[in-house]
Amino acid sequence: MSNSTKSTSDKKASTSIGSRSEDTRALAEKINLAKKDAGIGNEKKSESHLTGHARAVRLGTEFIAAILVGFGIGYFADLIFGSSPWIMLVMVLVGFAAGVLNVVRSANEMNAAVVITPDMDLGPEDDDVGNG
Amino acid sequence: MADPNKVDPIHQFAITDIFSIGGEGAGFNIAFTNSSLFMVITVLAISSFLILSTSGRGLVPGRLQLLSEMLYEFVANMVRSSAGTEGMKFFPFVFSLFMFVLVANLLGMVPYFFTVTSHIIVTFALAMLVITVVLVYGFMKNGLGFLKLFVPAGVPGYVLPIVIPIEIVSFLSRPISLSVRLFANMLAGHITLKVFAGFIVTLSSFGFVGWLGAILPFSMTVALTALEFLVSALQAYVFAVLTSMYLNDAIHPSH
Repeated sequence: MSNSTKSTSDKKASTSIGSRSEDTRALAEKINLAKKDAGIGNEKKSESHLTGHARAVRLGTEFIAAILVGFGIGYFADLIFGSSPWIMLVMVLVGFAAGVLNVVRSANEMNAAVVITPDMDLGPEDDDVGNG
Repeated sequence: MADPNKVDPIHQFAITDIFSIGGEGAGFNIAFTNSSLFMVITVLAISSFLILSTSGRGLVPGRLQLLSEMLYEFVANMVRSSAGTEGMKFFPFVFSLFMFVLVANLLGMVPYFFTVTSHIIVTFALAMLVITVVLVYGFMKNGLGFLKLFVPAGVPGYVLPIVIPIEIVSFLSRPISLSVRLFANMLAGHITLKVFAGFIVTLSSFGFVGWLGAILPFSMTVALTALEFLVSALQAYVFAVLTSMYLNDAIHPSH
């Protein structure tokens, strides 16, 4: 078991079989890849094949939009109360915080939508002894 | 023709009046622009496609019927997975939005056609429609309990004065980010496409060497065209997914 940093349950089972382990492992890999291609077992898979560019644009607009809204609210509040520029400065900071919140939320959504496949290395696992 | 100044990447977004009702004397002026024309074309294309393709009502669907059934299933799954079964009452709304944005984006890819979604006022109107539906339905269904959307669960009372404005600004930024994302993607894509296509014309004025050099921007234009088709479909999808997520907030306001 220690020779695999990316073990999944079916692969664990296959390694214990012994001589046929290579065949079984290859078969499991094939099945998993086919499942991944067909999108079986994940309803939210569609979000995961957003391109990197689309993700970046999404996060960017979420962030900028919140700052703009904060700025707008503060600017007009200043016009009304004649307190320029204090409310605007505070609201830009609030908008910045809201932008960070937006980015964290959409990043969480993207993470939740990712399909975990055997070929992904998610770092050392609990049962990896002395190998990671 | 070989004048490099003739390549104007912004020109494709110009709004022109086709005909107008009223005028100076009447005190009002309602213009039917090329943008309106393409909106009408989009709606007509969607309606006629869906009506014609499903008119057969075959138990075993033909190709076109299968296509419209796939579109239905795609949007229905999207709404169900992000807004739950309760969200299915908004299915007609999300489906209309998705189809409108998708077909408007794809029509924009046809040469000499106008891209409706490349104007921020159009995408902003669509986003405001979404947010208005969220607000109206949220208050109708939950009453003042909808305001719980701005109060995250498990936050101690003394940080609420800071958290609530942040949550409100975050909510207000949704229509902005929704509309800017769609508009910016379509605008930037079409400008890039036009600029690279313009390089071909400019380079070709240098004779044979220019023609050889023009192969580079030409291959780039081909690649960008493919990318733009991807972006068109992807942005329609993103718009619809975010719509159903926001509707989910209206249905279940507590985080």
